[in-house]
Amino acid sequence: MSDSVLSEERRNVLFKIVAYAVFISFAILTIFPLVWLFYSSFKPKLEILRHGLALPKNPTLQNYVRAWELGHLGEYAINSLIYTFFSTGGVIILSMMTSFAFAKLRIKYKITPILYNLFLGGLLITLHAILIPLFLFEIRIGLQDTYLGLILPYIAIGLPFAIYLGTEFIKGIPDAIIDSAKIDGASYLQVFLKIILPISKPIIVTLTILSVLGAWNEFLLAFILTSLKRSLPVGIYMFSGPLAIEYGLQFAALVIGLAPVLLFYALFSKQITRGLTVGAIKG
Amino acid sequence: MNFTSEESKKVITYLLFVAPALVIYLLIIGYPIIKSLHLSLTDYNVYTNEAVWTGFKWYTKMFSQSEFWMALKNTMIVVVVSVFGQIPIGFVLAYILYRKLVRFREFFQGMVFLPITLSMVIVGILWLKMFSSVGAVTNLLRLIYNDPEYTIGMLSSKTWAMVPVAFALLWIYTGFYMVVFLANLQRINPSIIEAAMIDGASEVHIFLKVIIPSLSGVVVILTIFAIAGSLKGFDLIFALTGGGPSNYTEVLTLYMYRYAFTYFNYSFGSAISMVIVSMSIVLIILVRIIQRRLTGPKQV
Repeated sequence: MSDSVLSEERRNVLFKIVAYAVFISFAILTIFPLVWLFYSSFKPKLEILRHGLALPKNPTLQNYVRAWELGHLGEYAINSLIYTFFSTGGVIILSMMTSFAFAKLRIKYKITPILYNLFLGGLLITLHAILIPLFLFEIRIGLQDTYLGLILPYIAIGLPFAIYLGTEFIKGIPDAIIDSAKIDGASYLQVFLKIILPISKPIIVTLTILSVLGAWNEFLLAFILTSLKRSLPVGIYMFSGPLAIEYGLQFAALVIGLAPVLLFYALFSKQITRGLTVGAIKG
Repeated sequence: MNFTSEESKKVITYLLFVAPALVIYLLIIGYPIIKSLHLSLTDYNVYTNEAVWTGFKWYTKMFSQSEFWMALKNTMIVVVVSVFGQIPIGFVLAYILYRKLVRFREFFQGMVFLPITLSMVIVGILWLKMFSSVGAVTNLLRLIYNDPEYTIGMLSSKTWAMVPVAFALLWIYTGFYMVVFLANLQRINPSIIEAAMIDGASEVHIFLKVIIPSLSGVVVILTIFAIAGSLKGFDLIFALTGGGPSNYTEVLTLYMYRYAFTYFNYSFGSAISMVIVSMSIVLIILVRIIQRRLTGPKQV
Protein backbone atom coordinates (compact mmCIF):
# COMPACT_ATOMS: atom_id res chain seq x y z
CA MET A 1 0.00 0.00 0.00
CA SER A 2 2.68 2.51 1.00
CA ASP A 3 4.51 1.45 -2.14
CA SER A 4 1.66 2.50 -4.43
CA VAL A 5 1.29 5.80 -2.56
CA LEU A 6 4.95 6.45 -3.09
CA SER A 7 4.80 5.71 -6.80
CA GLU A 8 1.76 7.94 -7.15
CA GLU A 9 3.65 10.70 -5.38
CA ARG A 10 6.57 10.18 -7.71
CA ARG A 11 4.28 10.32 -10.69
CA ASN A 12 2.83 13.59 -9.44
CA VAL A 13 6.29 15.06 -9.02
CA LEU A 14 7.17 13.96 -12.54
CA PHE A 15 3.96 15.57 -13.88
CA LYS A 16 4.85 18.78 -12.11
CA ILE A 17 8.37 18.84 -13.49
CA VAL A 18 7.05 18.35 -17.03
CA ALA A 19 4.38 21.00 -16.44
CA TYR A 20 6.93 23.55 -15.25
CA ALA A 21 9.31 22.69 -18.09
CA VAL A 22 6.59 23.30 -20.69
CA PHE A 23 5.45 26.62 -19.25
CA ILE A 24 8.96 27.90 -18.54
CA SER A 25 9.93 27.14 -22.16
CA PHE A 26 6.95 29.08 -23.47
CA ALA A 27 7.66 31.98 -21.12
CA ILE A 28 11.32 32.12 -22.20
CA LEU A 29 10.30 32.05 -25.86
CA THR A 30 8.14 35.09 -25.24
CA ILE A 31 10.35 37.05 -22.86
CA PHE A 32 13.81 36.41 -24.25
CA PRO A 33 13.35 37.90 -27.77
CA LEU A 34 11.68 40.99 -26.30
CA VAL A 35 14.34 41.54 -23.64
CA TRP A 36 17.16 40.93 -26.14
CA LEU A 37 15.54 43.34 -28.60
CA PHE A 38 15.12 45.97 -25.91
CA TYR A 39 18.71 46.08 -24.64
CA SER A 40 20.17 45.61 -28.12
CA SER A 41 18.32 48.72 -29.28
CA PHE A 42 20.62 50.82 -27.06
CA LYS A 43 23.84 49.37 -28.51
CA PRO A 44 26.06 51.24 -30.95
CA LYS A 45 26.60 49.54 -34.33
CA LEU A 46 29.97 47.97 -33.57
CA GLU A 47 28.75 46.36 -30.36
CA ILE A 48 25.82 44.82 -32.19
CA LEU A 49 28.11 43.36 -34.85
CA ARG A 50 30.77 42.08 -32.44
CA HIS A 51 28.83 41.00 -29.35
CA GLY A 52 25.36 39.91 -30.38
CA LEU A 53 24.33 38.69 -26.93
CA ALA A 54 26.13 41.10 -24.61
CA LEU A 55 24.45 43.95 -22.77
CA PRO A 56 25.31 47.43 -24.08
CA LYS A 57 28.65 48.72 -22.81
CA ASN A 58 28.13 52.28 -24.03
CA PRO A 59 24.34 52.61 -24.18
CA THR A 60 23.12 55.22 -26.65
CA LEU A 61 19.80 56.72 -27.67
CA GLN A 62 21.13 57.50 -31.17
CA ASN A 63 19.33 54.50 -32.68
CA TYR A 64 16.00 55.86 -31.52
CA VAL A 65 16.74 59.41 -32.62
CA ARG A 66 17.80 58.32 -36.11
CA ALA A 67 15.08 55.69 -36.56
CA TRP A 68 12.43 58.20 -35.52
CA GLU A 69 13.69 60.74 -38.09
CA LEU A 70 14.69 58.48 -41.00
CA GLY A 71 11.68 56.21 -40.67
CA HIS A 72 9.11 59.02 -40.18
CA LEU A 73 7.86 56.88 -37.30
CA GLY A 74 6.26 59.79 -35.45
CA GLU A 75 4.14 60.63 -38.45
CA TYR A 76 3.14 56.98 -38.95
CA ALA A 77 2.32 56.58 -35.27
CA ILE A 78 -0.09 59.51 -35.54
CA ASN A 79 -1.63 57.97 -38.66
CA SER A 80 -2.04 54.68 -36.81
CA LEU A 81 -3.76 56.50 -33.95
CA ILE A 82 -6.16 58.15 -36.40
CA TYR A 83 -6.96 54.84 -38.14
CA THR A 84 -7.42 53.07 -34.82
CA PHE A 85 -9.53 55.76 -33.16
CA PHE A 86 -11.98 56.36 -36.00
CA SER A 87 -12.38 52.75 -37.08
CA THR A 88 -13.01 51.67 -33.48
CA GLY A 89 -15.55 54.45 -32.96
CA GLY A 90 -17.22 53.62 -36.27
CA VAL A 91 -17.45 49.90 -35.58
CA ILE A 92 -18.94 50.44 -32.14
CA ILE A 93 -21.51 53.09 -33.04
CA LEU A 94 -22.68 51.38 -36.24
CA SER A 95 -22.71 47.86 -34.83
CA MET A 96 -24.60 48.85 -31.68
CA MET A 97 -27.23 50.73 -33.71
CA THR A 98 -27.66 47.76 -36.06
CA SER A 99 -27.68 45.27 -33.20
CA PHE A 100 -30.38 47.24 -31.39
CA ALA A 101 -32.55 47.28 -34.51
CA PHE A 102 -32.00 43.55 -35.10
CA ALA A 103 -32.61 42.54 -31.49
CA LYS A 104 -35.42 44.84 -30.39
CA LEU A 105 -37.18 46.57 -33.28
CA ARG A 106 -39.58 43.89 -34.44
CA ILE A 107 -41.03 45.39 -37.60
CA LYS A 108 -43.70 43.67 -39.66
CA TYR A 109 -41.41 43.11 -42.68
CA LYS A 110 -39.38 39.99 -41.95
CA ILE A 111 -36.05 41.31 -43.14
CA THR A 112 -34.03 40.97 -39.91
CA PRO A 113 -33.01 37.30 -40.38
CA ILE A 114 -31.95 38.01 -43.97
CA LEU A 115 -29.85 41.05 -43.07
CA TYR A 116 -28.41 39.41 -39.96
CA ASN A 117 -27.25 36.39 -41.95
CA LEU A 118 -25.89 38.69 -44.65
CA PHE A 119 -23.63 40.27 -42.03
CA LEU A 120 -22.71 36.90 -40.50
CA GLY A 121 -21.66 35.72 -43.96
CA GLY A 122 -18.87 38.28 -43.69
CA LEU A 123 -17.24 36.07 -41.06
CA LEU A 124 -16.50 33.50 -43.78
CA ILE A 125 -14.90 36.00 -46.13
CA THR A 126 -11.14 36.35 -46.06
CA LEU A 127 -9.55 39.72 -46.59
CA HIS A 128 -7.81 38.50 -49.73
CA ALA A 129 -11.14 37.95 -51.47
CA ILE A 130 -11.96 41.68 -51.40
CA LEU A 131 -8.46 43.11 -51.64
CA ILE A 132 -8.05 43.49 -55.40
CA PRO A 133 -11.47 44.99 -56.25
CA LEU A 134 -11.27 47.27 -53.21
CA PHE A 135 -7.84 48.52 -54.29
CA LEU A 136 -8.97 49.14 -57.90
CA PHE A 137 -12.20 50.77 -56.70
CA GLU A 138 -10.39 53.11 -54.29
CA ILE A 139 -7.91 54.16 -56.95
CA ARG A 140 -10.72 54.93 -59.39
CA ILE A 141 -12.69 57.12 -56.97
CA GLY A 142 -9.59 58.71 -55.42
CA LEU A 143 -9.99 57.14 -51.99
CA GLN A 144 -6.66 55.33 -52.04
CA ASP A 145 -4.05 56.82 -49.68
CA THR A 146 -6.63 58.83 -47.72
CA TYR A 147 -7.59 58.36 -44.07
CA LEU A 148 -11.16 57.51 -45.03
CA GLY A 149 -9.91 54.97 -47.58
CA LEU A 150 -8.50 52.81 -44.80
CA ILE A 151 -10.95 53.65 -41.99
CA LEU A 152 -14.00 52.52 -44.02
CA PRO A 153 -12.56 49.04 -44.78
CA TYR A 154 -11.53 48.63 -41.14
CA ILE A 155 -15.09 49.43 -40.09
CA ALA A 156 -16.61 47.08 -42.68
CA ILE A 157 -14.35 44.21 -41.63
CA GLY A 158 -15.10 44.75 -37.96
CA LEU A 159 -18.88 44.91 -38.42
CA PRO A 160 -19.85 41.22 -38.85
CA PHE A 161 -18.39 40.02 -35.57
CA ALA A 162 -19.42 43.18 -33.69
CA ILE A 163 -23.01 42.84 -34.93
CA TYR A 164 -23.02 39.16 -33.98
CA LEU A 165 -21.85 39.88 -30.42
CA GLY A 166 -24.01 43.00 -30.08
CA THR A 167 -27.22 41.37 -31.30
CA GLU A 168 -26.78 38.32 -29.07
CA PHE A 169 -26.13 40.59 -26.10
CA ILE A 170 -29.00 43.02 -26.65
CA LYS A 171 -31.43 40.12 -27.17
CA GLY A 172 -30.77 39.26 -23.53
CA ILE A 173 -31.96 42.68 -22.30
CA PRO A 174 -35.55 42.26 -21.04
CA ASP A 175 -38.23 43.83 -23.29
CA ALA A 176 -40.03 45.11 -20.19
CA ILE A 177 -37.36 47.77 -19.60
CA ILE A 178 -37.78 49.10 -23.13
CA ASP A 179 -41.59 48.89 -23.06
CA SER A 180 -41.89 50.86 -19.84
CA ALA A 181 -39.59 53.57 -21.18
CA LYS A 182 -41.72 53.73 -24.33
CA ILE A 183 -44.87 54.10 -22.22
CA ASP A 184 -43.18 56.99 -20.39
CA GLY A 185 -42.86 58.66 -23.77
CA ALA A 186 -39.23 57.96 -24.65
CA SER A 187 -38.32 57.80 -28.35
CA TYR A 188 -36.38 54.87 -29.80
CA LEU A 189 -33.29 57.05 -29.98
CA GLN A 190 -33.60 57.85 -26.28
CA VAL A 191 -34.13 54.18 -25.46
CA PHE A 192 -30.99 53.36 -27.42
CA LEU A 193 -28.84 56.09 -25.86
CA LYS A 194 -30.12 55.98 -22.28
CA ILE A 195 -30.94 52.31 -21.77
CA ILE A 196 -29.32 50.03 -24.36
CA LEU A 197 -25.86 51.61 -24.51
CA PRO A 198 -25.28 51.81 -20.73
CA ILE A 199 -26.41 48.21 -20.22
CA SER A 200 -24.20 47.08 -23.14
CA LYS A 201 -21.05 48.47 -21.55
CA PRO A 202 -19.33 45.06 -21.12
CA ILE A 203 -19.81 44.17 -24.78
CA ILE A 204 -18.66 47.65 -25.83
CA VAL A 205 -15.46 47.21 -23.81
CA THR A 206 -14.83 43.86 -25.52
CA LEU A 207 -15.48 45.33 -28.97
CA THR A 208 -13.20 48.28 -28.25
CA ILE A 209 -10.32 45.99 -27.32
CA LEU A 210 -10.83 43.79 -30.38
CA SER A 211 -11.11 46.75 -32.69
CA VAL A 212 -8.18 48.73 -31.24
CA LEU A 213 -5.82 45.75 -31.44
CA GLY A 214 -7.11 44.80 -34.87
CA ALA A 215 -6.65 48.25 -36.39
CA TRP A 216 -3.38 49.03 -34.63
CA ASN A 217 -1.76 45.76 -35.79
CA GLU A 218 -3.36 45.47 -39.23
CA PHE A 219 -0.84 45.26 -42.03
CA LEU A 220 -2.02 44.03 -45.43
CA LEU A 221 -4.81 46.54 -46.12
CA ALA A 222 -2.69 49.45 -44.91
CA PHE A 223 0.20 48.18 -47.04
CA ILE A 224 -1.94 48.02 -50.20
CA LEU A 225 -4.29 50.96 -49.68
CA THR A 226 -1.82 53.63 -48.51
CA SER A 227 1.37 54.99 -50.03
CA LEU A 228 2.13 58.15 -48.03
CA LYS A 229 -0.36 57.88 -45.16
CA ARG A 230 1.27 54.71 -43.87
CA SER A 231 0.42 53.13 -40.57
CA LEU A 232 3.13 52.22 -38.07
CA PRO A 233 3.45 48.50 -38.97
CA VAL A 234 3.74 49.37 -42.68
CA GLY A 235 6.28 52.10 -41.92
CA ILE A 236 8.37 49.68 -39.87
CA TYR A 237 8.16 47.01 -42.56
CA MET A 238 9.25 49.46 -45.27
CA PHE A 239 12.02 50.66 -43.00
CA SER A 240 13.37 47.10 -42.66
CA GLY A 241 14.13 46.82 -46.38
CA PRO A 242 16.60 49.51 -47.47
CA LEU A 243 18.22 49.83 -44.05
CA ALA A 244 18.50 46.11 -43.29
CA ILE A 245 22.14 46.39 -42.21
CA GLU A 246 21.44 49.27 -39.83
CA TYR A 247 20.56 46.80 -37.11
CA GLY A 248 20.47 49.37 -34.31
CA LEU A 249 17.87 51.48 -36.14
CA GLN A 250 15.86 48.36 -36.91
CA PHE A 251 15.84 47.30 -33.28
CA ALA A 252 14.78 50.77 -32.16
CA ALA A 253 11.97 50.82 -34.73
CA LEU A 254 10.74 47.40 -33.60
CA VAL A 255 10.71 48.53 -29.96
CA ILE A 256 8.72 51.62 -30.93
CA GLY A 257 6.26 49.38 -32.78
CA LEU A 258 5.87 46.87 -29.94
CA ALA A 259 5.90 49.16 -26.90
CA PRO A 260 2.34 50.56 -27.11
CA VAL A 261 0.75 47.11 -27.36
CA LEU A 262 2.95 45.69 -24.60
CA LEU A 263 1.91 48.56 -22.36
CA PHE A 264 -1.74 48.07 -23.30
CA TYR A 265 -1.39 44.35 -22.50
CA ALA A 266 0.34 45.02 -19.18
CA LEU A 267 -2.58 47.24 -18.13
CA PHE A 268 -5.52 45.25 -19.50
CA SER A 269 -4.29 41.69 -19.99
CA LYS A 270 -7.46 40.16 -18.49
CA GLN A 271 -9.82 42.19 -20.68
CA ILE A 272 -7.65 41.62 -23.77
CA THR A 273 -7.50 37.87 -23.20
CA ARG A 274 -11.27 37.74 -22.74
CA GLY A 275 -11.92 40.00 -25.71
CA LEU A 276 -9.79 38.04 -28.17
CA THR A 277 -11.25 34.67 -27.21
CA VAL A 278 -14.89 35.62 -26.66
CA GLY A 279 -15.95 34.40 -30.11
CA ALA A 280 -14.69 30.89 -29.47
CA ILE A 281 -15.84 30.72 -25.86
CA LYS A 282 -19.37 31.95 -26.45
CA GLY A 283 -19.86 29.87 -29.60
CA MET B 1 -51.86 55.42 -44.00
CA ASN B 2 -50.80 57.09 -40.82
CA PHE B 3 -47.13 58.06 -40.98
CA THR B 4 -46.89 59.03 -37.35
CA SER B 5 -48.17 55.68 -36.14
CA GLU B 6 -46.04 53.67 -33.78
CA GLU B 7 -45.34 51.02 -36.42
CA SER B 8 -44.06 53.47 -39.03
CA LYS B 9 -41.89 55.21 -36.43
CA LYS B 10 -40.43 51.84 -35.66
CA VAL B 11 -39.81 51.07 -39.34
CA ILE B 12 -38.14 54.45 -39.91
CA THR B 13 -35.93 54.00 -36.82
CA TYR B 14 -35.04 50.51 -38.03
CA LEU B 15 -34.00 51.79 -41.43
CA LEU B 16 -32.00 54.71 -40.03
CA PHE B 17 -30.22 52.45 -37.55
CA VAL B 18 -29.37 49.67 -39.99
CA ALA B 19 -28.65 51.67 -43.16
CA PRO B 20 -25.21 53.16 -42.36
CA ALA B 21 -23.68 49.80 -41.41
CA LEU B 22 -25.39 48.06 -44.32
CA VAL B 23 -24.22 50.59 -46.90
CA ILE B 24 -20.58 50.44 -45.74
CA TYR B 25 -20.72 46.65 -45.55
CA LEU B 26 -22.20 46.22 -49.03
CA LEU B 27 -19.80 48.75 -50.54
CA ILE B 28 -16.60 47.42 -48.97
CA ILE B 29 -17.34 43.69 -48.71
CA GLY B 30 -20.44 42.86 -50.74
CA TYR B 31 -19.53 44.56 -53.99
CA PRO B 32 -15.82 43.55 -54.01
CA ILE B 33 -16.59 39.89 -53.40
CA ILE B 34 -18.86 39.76 -56.44
CA LYS B 35 -16.44 41.91 -58.43
CA SER B 36 -13.64 39.54 -57.46
CA LEU B 37 -15.54 36.59 -58.87
CA HIS B 38 -16.20 38.58 -62.04
CA LEU B 39 -12.55 39.64 -62.41
CA SER B 40 -11.42 36.04 -62.04
CA LEU B 41 -13.47 35.07 -65.09
CA THR B 42 -12.19 37.90 -67.30
CA ASP B 43 -9.10 39.51 -68.76
CA TYR B 44 -9.02 42.83 -66.97
CA ASN B 45 -7.28 45.91 -68.35
CA VAL B 46 -6.59 48.49 -65.62
CA TYR B 47 -6.03 51.38 -68.00
CA THR B 48 -9.25 51.03 -69.97
CA ASN B 49 -11.17 49.46 -67.06
CA GLU B 50 -12.42 46.84 -69.53
CA ALA B 51 -12.96 43.21 -68.65
CA VAL B 52 -13.11 40.64 -71.45
CA TRP B 53 -14.84 37.37 -70.58
CA THR B 54 -12.41 34.43 -70.53
CA GLY B 55 -14.34 31.75 -68.66
CA PHE B 56 -12.20 29.53 -66.48
CA LYS B 57 -8.89 30.34 -68.21
CA TRP B 58 -7.18 31.65 -65.05
CA TYR B 59 -8.35 28.69 -63.01
CA THR B 60 -6.96 26.19 -65.52
CA LYS B 61 -3.73 28.16 -65.67
CA MET B 62 -3.52 28.11 -61.88
CA PHE B 63 -4.10 24.36 -61.55
CA SER B 64 -1.42 23.68 -64.16
CA GLN B 65 1.20 25.75 -62.29
CA SER B 66 3.58 23.94 -59.96
CA GLU B 67 3.72 27.17 -57.90
CA PHE B 68 0.03 26.72 -57.06
CA TRP B 69 0.58 23.19 -55.78
CA MET B 70 3.58 24.34 -53.74
CA ALA B 71 1.49 27.12 -52.19
CA LEU B 72 -1.36 24.68 -51.55
CA LYS B 73 1.02 22.23 -49.91
CA ASN B 74 2.47 24.94 -47.64
CA THR B 75 -1.01 26.20 -46.76
CA MET B 76 -1.97 22.65 -45.81
CA ILE B 77 1.16 22.40 -43.64
CA VAL B 78 -0.03 25.52 -41.83
CA VAL B 79 -3.52 24.03 -41.42
CA VAL B 80 -2.05 20.77 -40.07
CA VAL B 81 0.28 22.59 -37.65
CA SER B 82 -2.68 24.62 -36.41
CA VAL B 83 -5.17 21.77 -36.06
CA PHE B 84 -2.80 19.02 -34.84
CA GLY B 85 -0.20 21.22 -33.12
CA GLN B 86 -1.73 24.34 -31.62
CA ILE B 87 -4.98 22.69 -30.51
CA PRO B 88 -3.47 19.68 -28.64
CA ILE B 89 -0.63 21.71 -27.10
CA GLY B 90 -3.12 24.41 -26.16
CA PHE B 91 -5.20 21.73 -24.46
CA VAL B 92 -2.22 20.34 -22.53
CA LEU B 93 -1.33 23.83 -21.30
CA ALA B 94 -4.94 24.49 -20.30
CA TYR B 95 -5.14 21.16 -18.48
CA ILE B 96 -1.96 21.93 -16.51
CA LEU B 97 -3.47 25.27 -15.44
CA TYR B 98 -6.85 23.69 -14.69
CA ARG B 99 -5.37 21.00 -12.44
CA LYS B 100 -3.14 23.67 -10.82
CA LEU B 101 0.04 21.68 -11.51
CA VAL B 102 2.13 24.86 -11.60
CA ARG B 103 2.25 28.03 -9.53
CA PHE B 104 2.37 31.55 -11.02
CA ARG B 105 -0.50 30.50 -13.29
CA GLU B 106 -1.55 34.04 -14.17
CA PHE B 107 1.99 34.94 -15.16
CA PHE B 108 2.45 31.82 -17.29
CA GLN B 109 -0.93 32.20 -18.96
CA GLY B 110 -0.13 35.84 -19.69
CA MET B 111 3.22 34.98 -21.27
CA VAL B 112 1.81 32.22 -23.50
CA PHE B 113 -1.02 34.46 -24.66
CA LEU B 114 1.06 37.61 -25.20
CA PRO B 115 2.40 36.97 -28.75
CA ILE B 116 -1.09 36.91 -30.27
CA THR B 117 -1.65 40.55 -29.26
CA LEU B 118 1.41 41.78 -31.17
CA SER B 119 1.69 42.92 -34.78
CA MET B 120 2.56 39.81 -36.81
CA VAL B 121 4.72 41.81 -39.19
CA ILE B 122 6.81 43.20 -36.36
CA VAL B 123 7.04 39.75 -34.75
CA GLY B 124 8.15 38.34 -38.12
CA ILE B 125 10.88 40.95 -38.50
CA LEU B 126 11.98 40.38 -34.89
CA TRP B 127 12.37 36.63 -35.44
CA LEU B 128 14.23 37.27 -38.68
CA LYS B 129 16.67 39.45 -36.73
CA MET B 130 16.95 36.78 -34.00
CA PHE B 131 18.10 34.25 -36.61
CA SER B 132 20.31 36.71 -38.55
CA SER B 133 24.10 36.85 -38.19
CA VAL B 134 23.81 39.44 -35.36
CA GLY B 135 20.81 37.69 -33.79
CA ALA B 136 20.52 36.19 -30.34
CA VAL B 137 19.80 32.64 -31.55
CA THR B 138 22.77 32.62 -33.90
CA ASN B 139 25.09 33.95 -31.21
CA LEU B 140 23.80 31.46 -28.68
CA LEU B 141 24.49 28.61 -31.08
CA ARG B 142 27.96 30.08 -31.78
CA LEU B 143 28.70 29.80 -28.08
CA ILE B 144 27.34 26.28 -27.88
CA TYR B 145 29.22 25.04 -30.97
CA ASN B 146 32.24 27.19 -30.09
CA ASP B 147 32.33 28.35 -33.72
CA PRO B 148 32.30 32.17 -34.14
CA GLU B 149 31.49 31.86 -37.85
CA TYR B 150 28.38 29.69 -37.41
CA THR B 151 25.26 30.86 -39.29
CA ILE B 152 21.75 29.46 -39.35
CA GLY B 153 20.76 28.29 -42.80
CA MET B 154 17.28 27.07 -42.02
CA LEU B 155 15.35 30.08 -43.32
CA SER B 156 17.23 29.94 -46.63
CA SER B 157 17.01 26.16 -47.00
CA LYS B 158 14.42 24.83 -49.42
CA THR B 159 13.94 21.69 -47.33
CA TRP B 160 13.80 23.27 -43.89
CA ALA B 161 12.39 26.79 -44.32
CA MET B 162 8.85 25.74 -43.35
CA VAL B 163 10.14 24.50 -39.96
CA PRO B 164 10.83 27.95 -38.44
CA VAL B 165 7.56 29.17 -39.94
CA ALA B 166 5.62 26.34 -38.28
CA PHE B 167 7.50 26.93 -35.05
CA ALA B 168 6.65 30.64 -35.03
CA LEU B 169 2.98 29.81 -35.71
CA LEU B 170 2.91 27.40 -32.76
CA TRP B 171 4.51 29.96 -30.48
CA ILE B 172 2.09 32.71 -31.50
CA TYR B 173 -1.30 30.98 -31.56
CA THR B 174 -1.16 28.19 -28.98
CA GLY B 175 -2.11 30.68 -26.24
CA PHE B 176 -5.45 31.33 -27.91
CA TYR B 177 -6.42 27.65 -27.78
CA MET B 178 -5.12 27.37 -24.23
CA VAL B 179 -7.37 30.18 -22.99
CA VAL B 180 -10.46 28.81 -24.75
CA PHE B 181 -9.88 25.28 -23.41
CA LEU B 182 -9.27 26.64 -19.93
CA ALA B 183 -12.51 28.62 -19.96
CA ASN B 184 -14.38 25.47 -20.99
CA LEU B 185 -12.63 23.26 -18.43
CA GLN B 186 -13.56 25.72 -15.69
CA ARG B 187 -17.20 25.40 -16.72
CA ILE B 188 -17.25 21.70 -15.81
CA ASN B 189 -19.17 21.32 -12.58
CA PRO B 190 -16.64 20.18 -9.94
CA SER B 191 -19.31 18.20 -8.13
CA ILE B 192 -19.52 15.82 -11.12
CA ILE B 193 -15.81 15.06 -10.72
CA GLU B 194 -16.16 14.71 -6.96
CA ALA B 195 -19.07 12.31 -7.38
CA ALA B 196 -17.06 10.22 -9.83
CA MET B 197 -14.15 10.12 -7.38
CA ILE B 198 -16.42 8.98 -4.54
CA ASP B 199 -17.67 6.24 -6.87
CA GLY B 200 -14.04 5.15 -7.13
CA ALA B 201 -13.32 6.34 -10.65
CA SER B 202 -9.63 6.68 -11.45
CA GLU B 203 -7.94 9.87 -12.64
CA VAL B 204 -7.66 8.47 -16.17
CA HIS B 205 -11.29 7.37 -16.11
CA ILE B 206 -12.45 10.85 -15.08
CA PHE B 207 -10.29 12.38 -17.79
CA LEU B 208 -11.71 10.12 -20.50
CA LYS B 209 -15.36 9.95 -19.37
CA VAL B 210 -15.98 13.39 -17.89
CA ILE B 211 -13.50 15.89 -19.23
CA ILE B 212 -12.99 14.81 -22.85
CA PRO B 213 -16.71 14.47 -23.72
CA SER B 214 -17.46 17.91 -22.30
CA LEU B 215 -14.95 19.44 -24.71
CA SER B 216 -16.07 17.88 -28.01
CA GLY B 217 -18.14 20.91 -28.97
CA VAL B 218 -15.36 23.38 -28.38
CA VAL B 219 -12.88 21.25 -30.34
CA VAL B 220 -15.12 21.61 -33.40
CA ILE B 221 -15.28 25.38 -33.01
CA LEU B 222 -11.54 25.61 -32.47
CA THR B 223 -10.87 23.46 -35.53
CA ILE B 224 -12.94 25.89 -37.59
CA PHE B 225 -11.00 28.82 -36.12
CA ALA B 226 -7.72 27.07 -36.89
CA ILE B 227 -8.66 26.31 -40.51
CA ALA B 228 -10.07 29.76 -41.21
CA GLY B 229 -7.10 31.43 -39.53
CA SER B 230 -4.56 29.31 -41.40
CA LEU B 231 -6.05 30.11 -44.78
CA LYS B 232 -6.09 33.83 -43.97
CA GLY B 233 -2.55 34.00 -42.56
CA PHE B 234 -0.27 36.36 -44.44
CA ASP B 235 1.63 38.92 -42.33
CA LEU B 236 3.93 36.62 -40.39
CA ILE B 237 5.22 34.61 -43.37
CA PHE B 238 5.40 37.75 -45.50
CA ALA B 239 7.73 39.39 -42.97
CA LEU B 240 9.63 36.25 -41.95
CA THR B 241 10.47 34.64 -45.30
CA GLY B 242 8.51 36.61 -47.92
CA GLY B 243 7.63 33.18 -49.34
CA GLY B 244 11.27 32.36 -50.03
CA PRO B 245 13.72 30.80 -50.65
CA SER B 246 12.27 31.16 -54.18
CA ASN B 247 8.69 30.10 -53.39
CA TYR B 248 9.36 27.29 -50.95
CA THR B 249 7.45 28.85 -48.03
CA GLU B 250 4.83 30.55 -50.16
CA VAL B 251 1.27 30.00 -48.95
CA LEU B 252 -1.82 30.73 -51.10
CA THR B 253 -2.23 34.27 -49.75
CA LEU B 254 1.36 35.18 -50.65
CA TYR B 255 0.98 33.52 -54.06
CA MET B 256 -2.09 35.68 -54.65
CA TYR B 257 -0.28 38.80 -53.44
CA ARG B 258 2.65 38.11 -55.77
CA TYR B 259 0.51 37.79 -58.88
CA ALA B 260 -1.80 40.69 -58.06
CA PHE B 261 0.57 43.27 -56.59
CA THR B 262 4.00 42.51 -58.02
CA TYR B 263 2.99 41.18 -61.49
CA PHE B 264 -0.20 43.31 -61.58
CA ASN B 265 -2.27 40.45 -62.92
CA TYR B 266 -5.48 41.34 -61.10
CA SER B 267 -7.62 38.71 -62.83
CA PHE B 268 -5.29 35.87 -61.94
CA GLY B 269 -4.96 37.22 -58.39
CA SER B 270 -8.75 37.28 -58.09
CA ALA B 271 -8.97 33.67 -59.25
CA ILE B 272 -6.50 32.68 -56.52
CA SER B 273 -8.48 34.59 -53.89
CA MET B 274 -11.66 32.80 -55.00
CA VAL B 275 -9.91 29.45 -54.46
CA ILE B 276 -8.88 30.56 -50.95
CA VAL B 277 -12.45 31.54 -50.01
CA SER B 278 -13.93 28.36 -51.48
CA MET B 279 -11.43 26.21 -49.60
CA SER B 280 -12.25 28.00 -46.38
CA ILE B 281 -15.98 27.47 -46.83
CA VAL B 282 -15.61 23.82 -47.95
CA LEU B 283 -13.30 22.90 -45.06
CA ILE B 284 -15.61 24.51 -42.52
CA ILE B 285 -18.64 22.65 -43.90
CA LEU B 286 -16.57 19.44 -43.86
CA VAL B 287 -15.73 19.87 -40.17
CA ARG B 288 -19.44 20.41 -39.42
CA ILE B 289 -20.38 17.25 -41.33
CA ILE B 290 -17.74 15.17 -39.55
CA GLN B 291 -18.97 16.53 -36.25
CA ARG B 292 -22.60 15.59 -37.05
CA ARG B 293 -21.47 12.08 -38.04
CA LEU B 294 -19.56 11.66 -34.80
CA THR B 295 -21.98 13.13 -32.30
CA GLY B 296 -25.35 12.93 -34.00
CA PRO B 297 -27.46 15.97 -34.85
CA LYS B 298 -26.63 18.28 -31.99
CA GLN B 299 -26.55 22.03 -31.80
CA VAL B 300 -23.16 23.43 -30.88
